[in-house]
Amino acid sequence: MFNKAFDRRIHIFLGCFMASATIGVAFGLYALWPPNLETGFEPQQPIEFSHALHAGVDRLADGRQGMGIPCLYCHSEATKGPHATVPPVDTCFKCHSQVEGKGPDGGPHPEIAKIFDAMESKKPIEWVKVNDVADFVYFDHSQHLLAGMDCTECHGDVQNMHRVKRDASLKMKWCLDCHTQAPTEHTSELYARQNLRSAIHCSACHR
Amino acid sequence: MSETKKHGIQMQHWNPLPAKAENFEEPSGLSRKESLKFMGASSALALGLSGCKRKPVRKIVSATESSEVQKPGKALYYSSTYTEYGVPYGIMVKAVDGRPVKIEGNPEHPLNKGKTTLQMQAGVLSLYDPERLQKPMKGNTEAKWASVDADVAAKLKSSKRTVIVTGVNVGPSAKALLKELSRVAPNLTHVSYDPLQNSEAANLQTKLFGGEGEKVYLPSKAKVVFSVDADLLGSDLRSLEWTRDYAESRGESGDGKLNARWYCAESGMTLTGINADHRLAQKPSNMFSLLRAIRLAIKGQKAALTDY
Repeated sequence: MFNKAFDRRIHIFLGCFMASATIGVAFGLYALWPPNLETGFEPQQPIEFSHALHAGVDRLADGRQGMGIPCLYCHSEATKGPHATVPPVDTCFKCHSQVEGKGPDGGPHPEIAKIFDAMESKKPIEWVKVNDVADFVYFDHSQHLLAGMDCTECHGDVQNMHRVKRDASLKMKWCLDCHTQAPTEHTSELYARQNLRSAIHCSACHR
Repeated sequence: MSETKKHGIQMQHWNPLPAKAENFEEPSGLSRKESLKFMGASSALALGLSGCKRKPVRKIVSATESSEVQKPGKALYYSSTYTEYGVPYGIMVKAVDGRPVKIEGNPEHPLNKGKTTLQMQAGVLSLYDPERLQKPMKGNTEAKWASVDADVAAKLKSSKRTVIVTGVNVGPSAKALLKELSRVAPNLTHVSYDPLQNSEAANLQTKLFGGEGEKVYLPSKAKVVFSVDADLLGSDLRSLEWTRDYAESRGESGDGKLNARWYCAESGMTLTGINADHRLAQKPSNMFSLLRAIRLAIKGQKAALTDY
């Protein structure tokens, strides 16, 4: 614009600026939207546990009948505390100490064998957390269950999932879609009787 | 110095500085401006790379065996003791998922009755002190328990005399262990020592009132509390008991009267002085004379109080 030397320096400066902006945007996309916090996250778990077989009620494609175990049989802490908890291995062992299952080659089922391994070695199973929220969010399952909510409202149709998939976004906007509404017919008698509303003040979740 | 006259003002020009000093060298490398630019850019880059972290995939690791009491996210309360200045106070430790997070007093303990001191509240941090000993160490290197045990056993066998230094308050389980140790260790001497303890006060109290050990005072049962250069509510080693009872005793009894009247003679302003009903500012050198005058006054010579 003014002289060659100045133009050259301006171009270098703009080039650096655009490069850093591109890097910044790319890094932002990488860091701010990890796949484990997005809808559709369906990771492989250490044991191929099928909710459709255990919790479902329909007949599966391979002919086996879903067993219809209720959610709270295994995820028993959901009504008692903040975490719904994945059950400890001995909950699986309650049935599978008797149920050996047959693997595809006729021998013992490899996935069930993993339960036995865990029980013997006392090494717990490291499940991948599917329905995860950000670290600055406090979510309490028991409050929501006491208010009368059903598990499928947030976790989707787990009864028909072979591998657990993140069905809802579980982001703040999605939470507020429900929290800003009046109680529905789902709302438990406890909440309705006391005319309780779901919290929308910041420190309810951001403690 | 050359002088000129300009506009009627006399100006003096000093000799100008030489163009370059004799030993002047051009600085090599970056100029100050450039080096500042580089520092700024590199620090921004470093901060950016280290500050932002992608949230990693989280694992849920539940136990292999379920516990009836230990539930995730639920607090469990454990009672324990915290020995401060040689006195074991009862505490309740709140632990979440096996990790202690808060210390409160045990309301059933006769000494502190649910109250804590600063050190007890901060004591929970000592559990997470990054410099705490986490593994057995020999000098500055990590060692295994087996080798440490072997070393100590060998030394015990080969020594003629053993001395064990413990804190002042040794509980029944520690006492039993020491007894067992004295059976194998030759010539065992047990030394009880606490760097901060009220041993002088305890000795004096034993001399004056008999009985063994330190006495705990309950100002709620007193009519008058007179503190002479003693910050009972603040820096005293027994300030927990004093403060707790002070708080209880200053409440109104049924007839609307205060239970105890507090007097304080001290030099610098302390918590005790500011909370006392009457405060007498005295030089520390005067304290002894004051006490002597009060003693004489009690005996009947009231005149002693006017000049001491």
